[in-house]
Amino acid sequence: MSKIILETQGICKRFPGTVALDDVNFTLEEGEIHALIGENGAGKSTLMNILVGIHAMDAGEILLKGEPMHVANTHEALMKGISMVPQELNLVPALTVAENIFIGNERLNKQKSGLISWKKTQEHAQKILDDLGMSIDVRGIVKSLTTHQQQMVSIARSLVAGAEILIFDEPTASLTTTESEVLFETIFNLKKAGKSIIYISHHLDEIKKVSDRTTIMRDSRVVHMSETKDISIDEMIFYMANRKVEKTGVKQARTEFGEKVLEVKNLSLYKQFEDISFDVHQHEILGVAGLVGSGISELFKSVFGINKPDSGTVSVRGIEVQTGSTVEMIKLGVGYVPEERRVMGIFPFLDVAENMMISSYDVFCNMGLIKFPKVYSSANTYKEQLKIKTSTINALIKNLSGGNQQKVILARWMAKNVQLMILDNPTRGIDVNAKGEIHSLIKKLADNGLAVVVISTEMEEISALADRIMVMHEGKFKGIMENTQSNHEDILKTALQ
Amino acid sequence: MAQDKVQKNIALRILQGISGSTASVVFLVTIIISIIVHFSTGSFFTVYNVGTLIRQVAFVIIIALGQTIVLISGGIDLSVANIGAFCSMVVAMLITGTHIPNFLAVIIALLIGALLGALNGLFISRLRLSPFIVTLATGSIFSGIVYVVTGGMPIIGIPRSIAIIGQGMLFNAIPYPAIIMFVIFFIVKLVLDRTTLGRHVYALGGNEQAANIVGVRVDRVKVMVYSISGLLASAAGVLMVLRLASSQVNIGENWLMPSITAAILGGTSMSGGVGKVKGTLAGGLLMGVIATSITLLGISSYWERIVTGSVVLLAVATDAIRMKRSNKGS
Repeated sequence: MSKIILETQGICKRFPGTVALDDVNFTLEEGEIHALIGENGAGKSTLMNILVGIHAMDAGEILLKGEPMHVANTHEALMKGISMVPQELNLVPALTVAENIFIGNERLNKQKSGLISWKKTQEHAQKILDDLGMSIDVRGIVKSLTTHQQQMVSIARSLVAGAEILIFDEPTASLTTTESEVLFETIFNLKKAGKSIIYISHHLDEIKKVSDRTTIMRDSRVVHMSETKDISIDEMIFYMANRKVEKTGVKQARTEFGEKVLEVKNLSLYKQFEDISFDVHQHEILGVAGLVGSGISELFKSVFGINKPDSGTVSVRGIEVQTGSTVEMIKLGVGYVPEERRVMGIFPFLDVAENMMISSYDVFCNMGLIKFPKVYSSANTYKEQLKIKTSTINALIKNLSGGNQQKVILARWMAKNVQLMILDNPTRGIDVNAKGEIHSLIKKLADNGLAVVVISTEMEEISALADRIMVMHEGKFKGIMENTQSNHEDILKTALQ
Repeated sequence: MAQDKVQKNIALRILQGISGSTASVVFLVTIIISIIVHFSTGSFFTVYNVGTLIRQVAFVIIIALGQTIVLISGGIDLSVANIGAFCSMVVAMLITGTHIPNFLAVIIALLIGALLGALNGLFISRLRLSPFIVTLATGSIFSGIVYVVTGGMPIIGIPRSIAIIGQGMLFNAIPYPAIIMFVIFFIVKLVLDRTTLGRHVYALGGNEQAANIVGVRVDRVKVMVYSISGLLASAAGVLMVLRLASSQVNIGENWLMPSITAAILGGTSMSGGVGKVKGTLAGGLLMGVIATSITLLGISSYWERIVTGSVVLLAVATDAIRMKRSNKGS
């Protein structure tokens, strides 16, 4: 039995409206590769963010080599030897490989004069990469490297900074199969060198291949921990999924719909999704399930015209649309609620009324001038109807809570009277109450005849809303099935493998 | 310590109470300075002085109104002064060198201004180039053309019949350029506040990605914004030709930076999405008042730049502090 390097005891973490971690105990042994799995929202990322000092825990204790550890930020975590190899790489694209590896540690390659020796930096960087088994030109610019190579640079940087514990969060998400194999080799080499590794992934076959032990999280708790060789993939899925579906309930799925509203045929975009066909009807809520990196968000960005697909067609109510134009889609009665509300959804400097009515001004125009009294009275109607909590509709939208902002965005498309609404993770980061309200609103819209697409990485949300469920995995269509309680495990299996 | 903070809070609250917006604070400061200077020199509030002042600032404010729209949209137009110079040359050549009616010459010059602006907009929207770089480059080209065509020589001989628009005064008190400036101000205000285009400019500058999602024709709005800026720059250029009764190659030389300064003094954000033309008007007037006051007080005019620069720093610092406080509050 090797000794424990890192241990968490009874960690609890609350966010407004949700419990993210509930009494979590986790141990990492020296020199092991420890897999951490669970559905989105199970608490894996929160736990890791606490280990590297991004979040503070509310209760519990972290022991590093038996000593209580407190880290306030990622820098302090790094000083203690804990480093995250992030999903989105945090390198400086315009600098060279060698410079990136030694960022923050330039002093290691100083000359006697106190100036940095570039020759020394490059030789040093080359040696580290060689040890990792990577042949990358250290004088190359990071921007021109592949994701895989950038990842290696990121690992090298962690090692230079003195990392003893490396956390890999979905490291293979954007790698090819061969690149993944090389990464696994690297991870095994790190293990041989005595490093301890936490490995987070949705790819259960990878977990089987790479890890020594596996911890499974569900609903903010650890539900299982064992040697990886003692647990089958089916058992992993069972632990991840067996759960709260009964609690929130499955929707009584509709089987008869109205006319076809959206028809997508053979849509492809290089490296994002391939040959996707499906349709959505009046009164129907189509749930789209898939993991991060499955290409579902990208697919619907292309459907709505934010990006232009390489090939394939999109038709709305029988009319084939010129792809790549949001204006055309809106004209045909399609609305889109983006995943990242703050980045793509709201206009922070405009008030609630304008955020709601910005797409509908043409209706309120007389001789080219907008009649604002009418705009405001219409906005007030939606404010009442959707129970949007704001002192006045003239308040800036950035002062509203996430749930209320989302209601404003939904009202935007209701005011526009759209026939089809595409919602990308409509309740992410929103508290439980508002989530319930938004769910009932979505169902009501479908009852009133709208066609609705709900993209979600939360199985719970899909099962609560969808009539039919479309599953995607790594950019490929994996099937459309009816929403019944019995097939959730199938859906998860389809999405995971 | 605590008491200090309370006092500071009260002072700030009073300031905010009377202000509400940056524009009214700037306007208030303008009035206060005018009154102080009037009492120390006795000659600020005279018909002649005020008339001269608003005629002087009218040109820069017209340019600054266009600049404000561009800044709200999230861009910047560094070519305004050069478009002004280009169009002043065009109108002077048309009036002195052809037989077309004078008003037609003016309209052609204005259209060319809008067209040059549209050219900026096309480069910026279609090729996704940085507005800073595009307008820096086109500005250099436009002003270069003026020098090449005129050889650096003025074009003289604008008839009195049309020059009256630049030189004359209503009731012997209000200069025509100032009246034109106020008319443009109200039109631009109406466009920004009450038209779909105007609201889309705010949306675009506040969040371009979201603007695309809600159906703002992003490219078209950008072209419109730079066209309007070009049109107004041209209007200032034409007006200056009428004021001078000739075209000079250095027309507009001192317009660019003041046009940005006026907008920023009035609370327009350099990063887009925020701004009001009444702020720009107040900002432009404040700059004029500073310049006039320095003359009246007999201080060397070299000081004007130092004072204006300090006022700008003070204004943006105050805004930043207010912003920080309101963010903390929420």
